[in-house]
Amino acid sequence: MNKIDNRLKGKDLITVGIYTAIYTASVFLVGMFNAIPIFYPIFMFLGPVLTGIPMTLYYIKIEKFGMLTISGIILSAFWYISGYTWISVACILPASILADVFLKVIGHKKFKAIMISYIFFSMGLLAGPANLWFAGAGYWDGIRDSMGEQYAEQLAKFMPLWFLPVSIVLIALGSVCGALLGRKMMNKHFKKAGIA
Amino acid sequence: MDRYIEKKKFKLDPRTKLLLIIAVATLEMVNVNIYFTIAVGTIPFLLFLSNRQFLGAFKYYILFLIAAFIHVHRVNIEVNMFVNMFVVLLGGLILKLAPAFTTGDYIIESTSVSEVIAAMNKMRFSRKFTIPVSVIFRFLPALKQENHAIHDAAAMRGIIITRRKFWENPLRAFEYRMIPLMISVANTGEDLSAAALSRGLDNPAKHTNYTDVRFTKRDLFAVLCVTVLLGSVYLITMWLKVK
Repeated sequence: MNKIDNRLKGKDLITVGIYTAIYTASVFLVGMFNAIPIFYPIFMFLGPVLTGIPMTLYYIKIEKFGMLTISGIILSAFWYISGYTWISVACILPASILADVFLKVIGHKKFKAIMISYIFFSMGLLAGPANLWFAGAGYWDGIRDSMGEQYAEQLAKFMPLWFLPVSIVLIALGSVCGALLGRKMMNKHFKKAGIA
Repeated sequence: MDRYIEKKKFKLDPRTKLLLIIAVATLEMVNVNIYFTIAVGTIPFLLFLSNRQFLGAFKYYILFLIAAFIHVHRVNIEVNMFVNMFVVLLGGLILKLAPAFTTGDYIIESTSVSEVIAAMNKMRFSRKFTIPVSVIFRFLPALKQENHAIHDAAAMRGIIITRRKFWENPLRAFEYRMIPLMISVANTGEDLSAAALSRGLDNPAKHTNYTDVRFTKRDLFAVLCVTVLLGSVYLITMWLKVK
């Protein structure tokens, strides 16, 4: 392999834009289920599984360091604007930078690297529930006021602090499933269509 | 220089729009009182009207007012607990999230990609961010359109969520929706980068832009209107001590 220019070119940046857009769209689609408290834990698992397909497609186009970080910065700005305080930024930024580093270290376009990096990238999904644990009582008051007493109770029941490690495990499992699903779809459809 | 500003619509500078969406997203999370929330929710309604999206404006505003009504009367209504929870919850979600999302929709509808780029250049963002963000702006409407077309095709085969055939094998049905979307996304991406490259996207020289982005009297007017609206509602309700 000859030496690739490691600076991000226009083509890479366009790829970043497209896949960030579709990732955001799919996360918000799955995130709709959060309206019902029982689905919060399920979201932690289902989110990474479903976004596995677009992300695998994204991963096989990544050749350079920094693309996932840019995605992360844009995503965190997006989450911040949609009302998930600074905690979402604190979740998504490190997750995407770690994902980038792991992808770079293990090697781009290798399945193992994709899986590990995707696990880290998906940790950004913690941005949603993280507010419940770390933003303190004020955030809970806001929920109680706007969503009603019952929702707050239900939410507290389903989202205690010990759920943090559980949801990390759930996200990791979901990411592994998502990466496998992505690979399956890749072999089944995308290679035939000449994209991969 | 030609100025590509349509006279009919009330065009705002993209930077003003950014300021407005940040204000809406921040203020709707602040619990002052219901009137203040309604005042915040009125901003996207006015923005929609200014962009001549009349149908969307009234749909949104009626939904929002219903949500506000539910919010006010949520304690008085005694119905089945589950129904109550669901309705109150839905109302709360609309109350908290709809204004920001609607403003976002307005921004995507009303801003052309070149305006976004021009504004971001003026704010001195690195090109590493301007290009992805402008692609997102260009891409979200296309994604919506594409999804709609795929939905139509799926409906023809009876694999949409309201038909029985969908529930016979939901995973399959999901696959049939997702994969075409992904393929068309990937293809559109290729086309987009080919088009952009042939127009010299990678040229390291300073890029020029036809679109002239500058603050006008309209921006001043919009910001003043919003400030007066929110400020007066806040002061009056504070003065009357409305809960």
